[in-house]
Amino acid sequence: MTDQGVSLDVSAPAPRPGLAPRVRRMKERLLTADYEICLARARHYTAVYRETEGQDPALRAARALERTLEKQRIFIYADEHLAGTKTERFLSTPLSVDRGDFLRVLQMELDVLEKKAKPFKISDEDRSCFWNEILPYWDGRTLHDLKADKWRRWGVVSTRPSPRGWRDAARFVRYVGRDSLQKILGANLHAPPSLRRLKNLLGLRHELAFANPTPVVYCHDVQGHLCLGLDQVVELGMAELIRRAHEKLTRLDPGDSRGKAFLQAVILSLEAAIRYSERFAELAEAQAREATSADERRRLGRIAEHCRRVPRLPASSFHEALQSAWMTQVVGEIQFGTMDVFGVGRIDQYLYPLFQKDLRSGALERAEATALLQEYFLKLSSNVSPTPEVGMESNAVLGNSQHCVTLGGVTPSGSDATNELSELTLDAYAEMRGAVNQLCVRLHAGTPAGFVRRACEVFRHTNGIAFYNDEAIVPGLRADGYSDEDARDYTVVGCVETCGHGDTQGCVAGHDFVLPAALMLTLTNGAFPPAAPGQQAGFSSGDPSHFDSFEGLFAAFDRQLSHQLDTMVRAIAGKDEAHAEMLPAPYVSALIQGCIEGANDVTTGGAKYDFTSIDVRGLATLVDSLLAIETLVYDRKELGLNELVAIVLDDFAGQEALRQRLLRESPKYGSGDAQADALALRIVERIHGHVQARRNVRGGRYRVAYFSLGNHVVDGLFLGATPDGRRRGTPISNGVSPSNLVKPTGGPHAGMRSAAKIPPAQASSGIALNIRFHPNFIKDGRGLDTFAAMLKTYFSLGGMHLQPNFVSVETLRDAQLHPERHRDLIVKVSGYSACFTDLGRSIQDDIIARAEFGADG
Amino acid sequence: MSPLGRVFDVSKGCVHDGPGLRTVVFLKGCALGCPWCHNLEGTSHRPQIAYDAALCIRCGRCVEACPRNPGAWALDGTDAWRDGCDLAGRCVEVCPSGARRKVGRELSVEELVREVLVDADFFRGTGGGVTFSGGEPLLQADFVFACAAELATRNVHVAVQTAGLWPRRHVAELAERADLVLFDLKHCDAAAITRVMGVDGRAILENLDALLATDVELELCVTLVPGFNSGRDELEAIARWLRQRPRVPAVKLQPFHRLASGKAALYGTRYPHADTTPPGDAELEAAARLLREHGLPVVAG
Repeated sequence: MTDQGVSLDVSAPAPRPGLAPRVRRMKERLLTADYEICLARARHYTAVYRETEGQDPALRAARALERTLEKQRIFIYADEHLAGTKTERFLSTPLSVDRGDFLRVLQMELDVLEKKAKPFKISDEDRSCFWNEILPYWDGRTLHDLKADKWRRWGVVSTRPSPRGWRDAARFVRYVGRDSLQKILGANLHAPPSLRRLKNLLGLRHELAFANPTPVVYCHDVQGHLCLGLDQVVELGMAELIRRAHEKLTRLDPGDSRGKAFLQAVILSLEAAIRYSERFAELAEAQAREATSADERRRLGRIAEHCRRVPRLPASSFHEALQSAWMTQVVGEIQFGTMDVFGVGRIDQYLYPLFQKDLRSGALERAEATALLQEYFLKLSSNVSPTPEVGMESNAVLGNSQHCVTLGGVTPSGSDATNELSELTLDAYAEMRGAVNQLCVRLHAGTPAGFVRRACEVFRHTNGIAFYNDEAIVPGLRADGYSDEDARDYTVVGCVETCGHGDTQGCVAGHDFVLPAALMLTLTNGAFPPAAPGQQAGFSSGDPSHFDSFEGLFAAFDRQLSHQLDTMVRAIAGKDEAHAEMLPAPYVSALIQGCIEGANDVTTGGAKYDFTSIDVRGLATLVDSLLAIETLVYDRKELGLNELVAIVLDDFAGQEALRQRLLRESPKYGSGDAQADALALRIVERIHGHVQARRNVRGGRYRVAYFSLGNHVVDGLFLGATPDGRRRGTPISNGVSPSNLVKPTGGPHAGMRSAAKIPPAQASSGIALNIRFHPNFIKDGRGLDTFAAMLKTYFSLGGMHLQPNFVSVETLRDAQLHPERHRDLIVKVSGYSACFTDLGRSIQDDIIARAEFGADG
Repeated sequence: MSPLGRVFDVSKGCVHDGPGLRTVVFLKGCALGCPWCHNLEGTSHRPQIAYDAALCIRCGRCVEACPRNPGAWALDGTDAWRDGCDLAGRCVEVCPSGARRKVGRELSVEELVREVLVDADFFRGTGGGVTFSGGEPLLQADFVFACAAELATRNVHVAVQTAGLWPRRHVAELAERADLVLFDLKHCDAAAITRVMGVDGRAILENLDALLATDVELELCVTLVPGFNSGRDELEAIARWLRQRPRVPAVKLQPFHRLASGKAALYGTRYPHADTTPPGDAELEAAARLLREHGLPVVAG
């Protein structure tokens, strides 16, 4: 352990043990592995869905999972002490053909993915299977198709005839401009043209609208994004869950055929998971027989022993508990497919009893526990998704599904939950620079100071931690309807989303709302941004010539907001209905409290808590834009609103002086300006006001979050200039962070103070505050103490979340020039962590452009 | 009437000038002529107009607005048209991009205190406060002491960063008003100081002695400048001299840096040390080791 006292000596960094050789080898393998496309899940799902047409959807889902788990080839890789593979390739993703979204990606861009600088590899056999068997079967049968059909019928997307569509396309292309278009199309521009690509492009020309029905609203096909009850499996074992399902089956109303099918599907899925684990036991036994060294035989023997027992039975040791949790997670990922995001919850709580027992009995050494946790971290980051080109500007490929780990905070009864395992996990993480998963550290007033400081110190080495404030978050969750105990037991899912532990259908991601686009539609009465092919015509919220005052403008903006949120809610309803009708998730449901008890799937409202989250982006860009208009148009009356809007639509051509004044002369969010902060709060309050009375199709509430992943960069590509002086094609602001365009004269804490004012109950799904510090800021013990004290102060003011980056502009620029030297450089994007060198250029530039604090000295 | 201070920057969110999170108030005017000075705005007591060519959008409004009618805007990006500038400041007012900035504004004690108290929450939470720096803040001692007295009533920690050249009579009040004095010691050889900075080196060392005779918390900061004070002999001399003082203060070492090269361009001058290589980490570490061997408590800088 390191000295927890105040060290003033820069020359004495905390002693760190270094990675165990086997963990170092596993980490190296992960960071250098090929990205591959594996069709195993796709083939088996296709076969089962073909055979079971017309049968109950829950049973079909269970049968398809069962077949995959029976037939998919499995592997135990060198050095592994935890077994469980998701695909037949080392680094790949179970392809969600049934959902259909990533099928579309491959249909459009498989050729491109194969030819990237870091390509996705696919075997010849799989490629031909994809085009000739998989794609033709699923055409018109995926969840995406069902959702699209509903959206068309409900008018969520446009059904205008084609000639008009071509005009729309031309207008859209003119609006986004050549530079942005190039970035949106990315490597597509350089891929060799082929008849197939041309046919696909024409066939899918409306595809944008089926994720993005208006320029403001995104609604993707994923559901879920939740925390599985891994704790339940570790403590009870799946056999107990199966017993409960059987018991419920016997007590079920005989007329409840849906409930019956659901419970049968649950039992099938859990039994299949148990058998999947047993296959690993058999493989380990076979490999042990061939093994030449005693160490290898011991390693494989232990895997076999563990996989025979768990996840079927309660785990009996720390090692077995991690094995149980990992195998349970693996099967969840296979069921959900690409972009599954399952937070693994509070591992320092549910693994603690066995950790403590093993440590006391001498069965476990700390070094061994550390290495196991590190292997677990690596496994959690072992995922890649074939991101479409437009996403490449903002996203990373490796570790794209963020399975975050939550530590610390309070127990369900409210006492301090920090324990020895929390500390050990932190220490294990300190060595994991380069593993992309994130560590979520919960703090409360009673968190031991040494733990806070240690977390800050670990941060210095890894950049992968975000801090969460129980004092602000727990009351927000209570306001959503969580019981006191369940609210205190929250965990983090995905990026920053706060969610119940194994009891919540969170739907925390996939529904994104772009505020600056809503403002531009208001300012142009629905004309700009122009509708892309298939998108709804812009909503007319009023003629801007009649906005006599700022309040007139704000009222129109509020109408636009209301209309767009209404569209969002209808879009989500279409997707959710499609999930309920076509893609129930019996395996996931088995691991969420309430579903077995109520004989009801998560997709139809079976979870104990049910929510849908709307993730809002570009708050600072919106606030700064509105205040720039208020200052120049309404207060000083220097020019008319229409005049200003015309200049903005023209991307400030010939108006650089005016643009500079827009950038500088009005109040800015996050700079310590009370007026700007007040406007931000007013907007947050309006958004919450519009959604709080609404319910999703399962009866759950809507919650609001403010984070942007890296998508604020993509939003920027689709958006012309804005009145805050932002130019066409450049990123909008991220999360609740101040705009990159604003000179940060108030210091890093000015942004914290603005974020702290946002009422947790109105943003209960989470916020992301990104602040980039120069490493000099915390270069010594004193800097570290000051940073920890700043964090506590921000939290005492009511802040919910902070994710600092401690990396200098020089380092980031060097990483752009020499990516090979910085493969393990991790940065926070907005919510999630990623390898910097794996990110698209635009998001790299956006991170560099963020204000940097503390470079002096 | 409360004294006015002439300030060139109020920098928030600093961490290297005293404990906790700090607001550093930079005051204009300094008598020393350190060739490596990195706060060029601090040397002159007069306001200045800075010009940042990187921000300039070449709109020419500054030239048009100038009451001296300097004629046409020279598109070469130089600031030659400002020769004979009488600091009317019209160019700053009309500049849309912030390329032209007036450096040096007059503030009352109340105004300054109001401005820094915005951060009272973070001062309290981090044990931070306000650091007066410059320039030489004690050339405006009345203003600094009045602010410090006012901040003391709000329990805000006050540090004063000084190069030590000011009338001896300030010692008692400085010791009383400041919670921490950050003393920039250039050298312990009065003659060397006089030679390089052109001021009375003895007065500086005597002021330091007088401060060490009080009980004010004091931290010495030595900026290592190659060719002036970073050699083994000079460092040993500094160490020996400090060992003879009434009490031995903590010493912080920092390398001279060239950040001012860019700044010099803002004022149309050239930074004389632009070609000197700053000491690296190894040199800094060696210097710290040397001072420690002589029994000095060296803290990280």
